[in-house]
This record gives sequence, structure tokens and C-alpha cells, in this order.
Amino acid sequence: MAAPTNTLAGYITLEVPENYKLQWLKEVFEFTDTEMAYVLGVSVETLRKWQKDESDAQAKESVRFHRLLDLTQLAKGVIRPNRLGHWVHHENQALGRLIPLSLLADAAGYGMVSAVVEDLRTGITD
Amino acid sequence: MGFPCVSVKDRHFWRCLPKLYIQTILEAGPSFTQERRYSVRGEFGALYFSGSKDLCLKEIVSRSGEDSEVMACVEFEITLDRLVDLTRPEARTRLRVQLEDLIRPRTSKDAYVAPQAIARRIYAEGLQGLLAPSVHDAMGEKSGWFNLVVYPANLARAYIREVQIEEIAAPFR
Repeated sequence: MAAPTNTLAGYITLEVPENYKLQWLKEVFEFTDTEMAYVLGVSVETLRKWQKDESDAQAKESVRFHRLLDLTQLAKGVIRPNRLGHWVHHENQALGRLIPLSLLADAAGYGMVSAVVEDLRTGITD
Repeated sequence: MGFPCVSVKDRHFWRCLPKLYIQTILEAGPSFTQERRYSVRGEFGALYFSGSKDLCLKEIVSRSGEDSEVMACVEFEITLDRLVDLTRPEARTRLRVQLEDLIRPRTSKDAYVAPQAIARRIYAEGLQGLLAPSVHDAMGEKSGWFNLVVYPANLARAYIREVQIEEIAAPFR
């Protein structure tokens, strides 16, 4: 199985690769299989099956998959690519000390996380 | 009801953005497409400033920890004369709003309901903006730890006059 093209030797960019997007998301966010499956709302077995598909055909049917892709693009220029995994796994003061990862599985939670990134991007104060 | 207005003259305010996006520092567009504390999606946008650089940095740290890209902090000198000062208790009393209604954390249910209701009235009145308490220093104990919210559309109205409005229904011929 070929590795995503833009995560070589620990160097990560937020340019979405042509193929293996699911694998790339997992690496960018530093998700374990369990975390990734939780965020996508599927079993670990299903996740592993999806990951083997170069074209991400099944993952592309998932709204949650597209939300994760959107978050990487929102974070571009805002969160350092090699720190996005750290950021998503740690308490966030603006989110009431919730961990972004814990919010990403549903639309409302994703909205809160993406709003924090957007406000960083646009300088909107609280 | 008339609003109690204040002015600021040559006062310094700050905005911090990622360095990559610094050319957009005076764009209010993003706030027009999102629900935010003093701007309403699809109704009116705003530019949000901080009264101190330290408050700007506090906002960044609270959102990104140590994980953000390089940020650029721009210091502005601003003169405006038609602002509502919501940091003043007497202004809040007159507008019948409590301080705690203005500084609810963004994760709270209905966090933006009261601030947006006030913002709608101020915007509709054609005022230039408002001064608001910061969630990071609600009691205003630190110098400059408050926000300035400016409504660019109302600023533009001082220079742009609507001549007429004509309703046109399809088909457009």
C-alpha cells in the first residue's frame, strides 16, 4: 500500500493528497485507529477496510470524513501542520477546556471546533 | 430610545491574524457568514479589535495553545464618535442587559443571544460600533482588556448615499 504523498519522513503539509486521503487524515491528526473510527462513527474493522482503498470511495460517502478534510483546510496557515495532531488531542481553553477530538464526532461539536480555528484565522475576538 | 454614545480619538487597538492572512486584516466578510458575538450571519458583519496587544495574545493562546503558525499583530490608531460602550454599567442598565449575558463562554447555550440582540439594535441605528467587555476580563480589571467592534457598513454609509431602491421581479428583461 502506497503511503500518502505528502507525509514523508515526518514532514507534514496540509495539502490534501490525490489518494489515500483517509490515511493522510489519520496521520495529520495523529489519530489512533480507535480515535479515527470514533470520529468517523464506524468500527475499527470498517476503518481498516476503508483505509486500504486508494480512492477512498467509501469514506467519501461519509459527511464526517469531509468535515475532517474541511478542518485541515481551515487550519492551513493557522495551526502548524506538524502540531495539528497535538492541538486536536489537548484541552482547549476557548472550548471550555474540552479536547477538540472529543467534539469532532458530531456536527455541533465540529461547528465549535471549526469556529475556534476560523476565529484564529480572522482575528474575531471573544 | 436614543443610545448613549461615546467616542474614541486616536486610540490604539490591535488585531492579530496568522501572518499568511495579514492582507485580510480589515476584511469583515468572514463575520458576515458566521454567528459571532456582535455580528449576525447573513445580516451584518463586523471588525473585531482588542484594546490591548496582551488581550489579542491571550485570545490566540486560549484557542491554539502553542500550536499556531506565526501570527502578526497590527496596531491601529482609531477615531470614532458614535459607539455604544457596553463596558459601562450605566450603558448596560439603559439597554437592559446584564454583564453576564455579554460574556458567556462560546460553548454555552445561547452564548450570543443577548449580545446579538444588542448588536442588531446598534447596527440598525446606524452607529459605528461598540465597546464590549472581554470574556477574558469581564470586570475590566486589566488596562485595555476590552474589545472594539466596528460595523464597516455603517461607516460606509457616511460616504455612500442610496439614491433609490427598485424592486425587480423575474423575468429580468
